[in-house]
Amino acid sequence: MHHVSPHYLHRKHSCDCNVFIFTKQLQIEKSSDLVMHMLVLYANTGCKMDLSSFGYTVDVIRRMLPVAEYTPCIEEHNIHAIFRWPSVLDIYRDSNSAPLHAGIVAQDPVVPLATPDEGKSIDFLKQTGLTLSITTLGTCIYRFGKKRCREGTHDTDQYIFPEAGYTSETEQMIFKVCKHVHKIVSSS
Amino acid sequence: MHAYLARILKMAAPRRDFPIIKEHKRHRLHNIAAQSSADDMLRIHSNSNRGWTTLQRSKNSQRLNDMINKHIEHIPTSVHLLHESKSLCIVSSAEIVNIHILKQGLNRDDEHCEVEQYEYTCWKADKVCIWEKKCKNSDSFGCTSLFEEQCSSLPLDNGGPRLVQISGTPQMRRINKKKKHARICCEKNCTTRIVVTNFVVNVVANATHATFISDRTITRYTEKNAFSMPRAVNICYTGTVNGKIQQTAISAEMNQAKKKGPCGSEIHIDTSMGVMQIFGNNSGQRKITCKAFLNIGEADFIVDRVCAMVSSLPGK
Repeated sequence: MHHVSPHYLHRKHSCDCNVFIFTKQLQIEKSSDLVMHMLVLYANTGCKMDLSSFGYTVDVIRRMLPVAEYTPCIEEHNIHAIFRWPSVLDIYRDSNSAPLHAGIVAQDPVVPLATPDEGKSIDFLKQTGLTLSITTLGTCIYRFGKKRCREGTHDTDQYIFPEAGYTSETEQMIFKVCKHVHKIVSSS
Repeated sequence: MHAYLARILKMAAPRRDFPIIKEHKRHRLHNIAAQSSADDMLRIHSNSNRGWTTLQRSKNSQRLNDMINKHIEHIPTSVHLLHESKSLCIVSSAEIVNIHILKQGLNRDDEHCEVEQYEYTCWKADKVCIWEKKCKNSDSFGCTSLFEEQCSSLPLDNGGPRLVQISGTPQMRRINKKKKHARICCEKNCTTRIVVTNFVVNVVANATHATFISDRTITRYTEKNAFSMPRAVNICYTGTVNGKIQQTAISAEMNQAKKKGPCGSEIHIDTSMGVMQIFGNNSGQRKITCKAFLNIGEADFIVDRVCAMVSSLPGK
């Protein structure tokens, strides 16, 4: 069973019918939309970082971002610390509560209802974790990943989570989350 | 940006605990703080945060670091910033370095370093000394001013301390340049030449103290390690396709698709936007992965393009 694609139909209208018979192709089609499973961003704070357990970076992240798992620099091993957030949805919500005017935080923000597409993106963010690797020199690697759990024995590529839509809007939301975290890490 | 930072400041109050601190191999961490304290130059401590911060990398902060390295023996380890400003002066016979730390910034974005440099040249003329102050800053490079020093009792060969002592006092009077100065102020008559460098470091208003630490391995200021916002460098996507795909069709169309790519893929296609891999047939469906892309638009474009290319003729 092969699908008849819009591409095919387009050809049907625009080409001579005889030619069409000989050039008819079996269409290969996407049967599911692409879904991000790993997204890596690079950034730099532009200055040296105090990554010690009781240092500046840990303190700022603790106070201004949702709870994170922290793995400090390990001497002899590496020069980077790692912060992990199991879900970036909370960070996204934080980044969205932007002030209405310069220097003024909305006292009673009106939260618009999400459209169905936004709802899917929200679901996706909920299922997406963030790992920030940051070096003492200020290099930041942000790695977003879809939480993936193996489902039993037969199909190792299935997610146990309900399928969440991924679109360019979802991707922009992830970029926004990343910028929000980076601003806090580098300029708070 | 200011709005954002204002909000950040409001949010800065403690929100919640930070309980999940996984401190692997705690026994190996005992001296991390000590270790890290040996690798930075000017650290700013404030009363609103733990730990320290540094200036953003720039050409000027690089010059400050170079100066600290050069004069580390003469600079105190730490200075308390009790008032709005704090100044340090390092004087040698041929060089004067002033470090002015000003507590003016509302937040870290306001922290920066400014540098100005002048060259003072002195000539002896009868009972006076003529000083020429030449600006070395790029914006007014070469601008000169002339001063006349009256009745100096200090030795001429100890220029630095002498200049510090008379600078800004009535003893050193600004004068107009006259013809006679051109005759006196020539290279062979020069008695002293002193370079004066002023570093003006703006730090946050709530800074409590600054520490100076030597490090000759500090990262140089380059575009590569300057501040940058996050940019995507590698995005991987997964999807599925169905339909009949022929290896020969890909090879013919793209002249490069490899048989048996990495990760168990059947077909591996390199493109300028990223790599696409097509895996084995599974009940009519094939899993595809798009790796090393920068956004989903490009990945979608490549998948659609490849799908259009690899469709096989019926009966083949």
